[in-house]
Amino acid sequence: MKFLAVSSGVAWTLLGATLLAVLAFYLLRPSPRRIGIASNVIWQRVLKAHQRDRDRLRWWLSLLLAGLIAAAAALACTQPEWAAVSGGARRLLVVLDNASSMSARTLDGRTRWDHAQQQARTAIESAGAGSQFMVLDTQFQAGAPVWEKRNDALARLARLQPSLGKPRFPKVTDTTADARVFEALFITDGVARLQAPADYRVVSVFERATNIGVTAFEIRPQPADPRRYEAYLEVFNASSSTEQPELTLTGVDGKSLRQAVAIPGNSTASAVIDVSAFPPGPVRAAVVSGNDGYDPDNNAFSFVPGKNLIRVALVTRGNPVLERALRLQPRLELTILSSPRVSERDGFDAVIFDRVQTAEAVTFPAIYIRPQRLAGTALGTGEIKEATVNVWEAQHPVMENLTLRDVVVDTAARWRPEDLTRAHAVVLASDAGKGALIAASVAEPYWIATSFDLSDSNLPLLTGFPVMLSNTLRWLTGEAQALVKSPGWVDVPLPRARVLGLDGKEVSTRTLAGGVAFEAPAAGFYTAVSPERVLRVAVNLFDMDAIAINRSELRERQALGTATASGAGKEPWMVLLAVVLALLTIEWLTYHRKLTV
Amino acid sequence: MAAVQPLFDETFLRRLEALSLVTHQRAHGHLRGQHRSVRRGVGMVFSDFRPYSPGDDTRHIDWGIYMRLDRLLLRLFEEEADLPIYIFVDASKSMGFGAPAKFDYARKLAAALGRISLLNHDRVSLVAYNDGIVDTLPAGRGKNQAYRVFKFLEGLQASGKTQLNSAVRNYFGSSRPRGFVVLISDFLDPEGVEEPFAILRRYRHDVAVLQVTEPSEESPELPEEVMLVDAESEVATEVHVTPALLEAYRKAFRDHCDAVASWCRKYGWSYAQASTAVNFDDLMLKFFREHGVLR
Repeated sequence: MKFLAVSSGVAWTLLGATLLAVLAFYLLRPSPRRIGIASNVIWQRVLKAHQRDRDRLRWWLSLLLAGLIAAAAALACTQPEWAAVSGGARRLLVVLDNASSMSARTLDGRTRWDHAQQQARTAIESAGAGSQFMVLDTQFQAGAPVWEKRNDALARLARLQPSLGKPRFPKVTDTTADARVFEALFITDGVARLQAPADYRVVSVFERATNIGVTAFEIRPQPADPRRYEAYLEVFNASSSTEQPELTLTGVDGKSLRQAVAIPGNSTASAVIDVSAFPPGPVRAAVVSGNDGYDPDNNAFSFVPGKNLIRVALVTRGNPVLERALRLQPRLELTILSSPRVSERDGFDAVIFDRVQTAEAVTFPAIYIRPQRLAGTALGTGEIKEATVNVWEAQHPVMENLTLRDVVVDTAARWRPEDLTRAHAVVLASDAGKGALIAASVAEPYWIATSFDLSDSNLPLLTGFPVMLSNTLRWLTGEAQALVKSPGWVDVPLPRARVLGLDGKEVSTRTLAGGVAFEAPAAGFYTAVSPERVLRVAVNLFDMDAIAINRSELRERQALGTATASGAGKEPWMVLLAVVLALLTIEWLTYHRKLTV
Repeated sequence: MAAVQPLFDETFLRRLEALSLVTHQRAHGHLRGQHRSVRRGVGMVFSDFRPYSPGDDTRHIDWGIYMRLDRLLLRLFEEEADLPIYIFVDASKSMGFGAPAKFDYARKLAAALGRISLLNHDRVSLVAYNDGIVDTLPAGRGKNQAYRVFKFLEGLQASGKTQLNSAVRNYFGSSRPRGFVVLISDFLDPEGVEEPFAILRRYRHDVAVLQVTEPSEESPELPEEVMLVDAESEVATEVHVTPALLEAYRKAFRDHCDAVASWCRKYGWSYAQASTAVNFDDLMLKFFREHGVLR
């Protein structure tokens, strides 16, 4: 027998000492009242005939009862592990899939997560006393993997919730000294398709549910007229039957558009809706269905930008490629200049200095292509040859939706890091072995510079170049833009930024290098405000793996059989306390019926 | 030492003068008394005739027969002799219990019976005993000896163990005339009464047994857990008192008294149980008369 509260030695010692104490109390108990009588001749005669043996029996019975009571109480204190009473103690690892799809509602009105928690609770509660438990989840809400007692495990289980982050199967390492083999359960709906190790018992809580979710929502300028906007909305019907949801777009001033669509089962429907009439600001797309069983994908957010033209001056001695790329930008009014004498009074939103050096430091947003000086700082004269971009700052707004992996540069100026530091610049792209290729300022006036001539690289030829150009102009002109992020922890590349929700309330943030991060548990729209800039963040669940909540290879929900002994889960110390109470009752009854002393 | 209390008041003593002990045997005393004797002599009750011999008291010649038959016959009378009375008082420690103490009750009984006997011109001997003879009052006769009797009894104290057998054996081991033995005791004798009674029977004494009891012995009231300490042996006995046990005790006590009584019946002796709860005057003047101890 093992004891949970104390070591075996202490437990047996306690038991023995208790029994000895009881015996001592019986032997040393105060003598009854002494009463003198004339003679005990008759009493001896009576006792001989009636009571002697019975008294001895009563004494022994009383001692036995007291011994049992004391022993049971002492054993209860030691919390014995007693398989016959409570089932065998074991180690049970329960991994719960708390991916977003687990919040899908089932026919009984509960959610898959409710069923998963119920299954886990049943497994934990039916395990024998003295069992140890580890509760983990695929969203890593449970914390570090530790073996703990039943109540702690149940408390940890109660804290878990499905969330929209990308689920991952937790890695379990049994670091405890006791190398007992543990049983492992993985309770999932199978949608996340997480692969549990072979020795895990997979318990399915999958049950088909109706779901129609937004898989794409984007507001973009109309090709024919960049000052007009249209919304592209894509909706997926994850159920097997045709559904007819209503799509709703709602702007900041309450303006809304509604459109009903019919979507066959397991199909996608898309709609392009003119949102030019919407004022600049966030727009919410909602899909409304009467029997939708999964809420997180019912809403998506985007942003209608301002509709003003951007006035850009290109100071160059001739660069048709760049000129053509600029002209393709919507809402851009381009002015070609040959003289670098440009001042703020000229009213340009941004100026591009293509291999032209300005006489003095400019005070307005600018793009420098292979400059000699940056923010008044003279740059080095060395060159680097045949560089490739292998490191870039993907989080910077300029680099949004971009990959520079294919950029090759024949010749570029060699920038010394100390010069960039003096110019208050950060490197956005570089060849790790050779040097910086693209840099940007971190303070006003904002600028971005390339260390190479565009004609010395393949950058203008890449498909991402117009995007980069667009990002750069938007960033330079401070035009409100929306980052598109997935739910979970969202990084915002704005140092010291405060993040506000749609309701205007501030969201708690964590400080990161070069920005802040906040947690977005569901689709939503946030505004990050820093002293220098404002950045919009649209958090949308466009993850088809999460939206397709019926894509599971598991069977429908199954009951978790409990192979534990009857009475499993009952703590032996509780049973022992019940025994103590029962014995006390018996002792009380027998004492008052003169059966014990 | 506590002051010796007078045993009786004068009124009670006067009322005792009307009583006498009932004996079932003829007296064997040598002195004249009021009891019918086995000897013939001077008396009131005619017994027989015998031929006259010279020297006989001529006052007893039946002159009527002489006139009719011309023979001198002497009339014989039953002689009334005194009765040797031995009053045994149990002075063991067990007698010291009760309120009033059984010993006081026993002493009163002995005193009363002694006075009655002295008034009837009997020779009264008192024997105080426990596990042997504690003290004796030699035989005395005449009512003026009552003071000695009272004084003797007042000087006794309850102590020691009860052993009637030893006392009887010792006392009657020396030659004693056959007489009337009054045993006053609670008879809580571990050795029982069979043997001492047999000794008395062997000496052919007439015996009156007065068993002194007290209510707490007959029906004790005890707590549940009690250590009963024997007054004589000081042996403690732990008893778990239950109603059933108390009932068993009451029955055993009754059996104990019945056993003493049955021995008395067997030997043709008088027996009376004298409970201290009974008023002493009533005991002497009514109860003993009803039980044939006194008349």
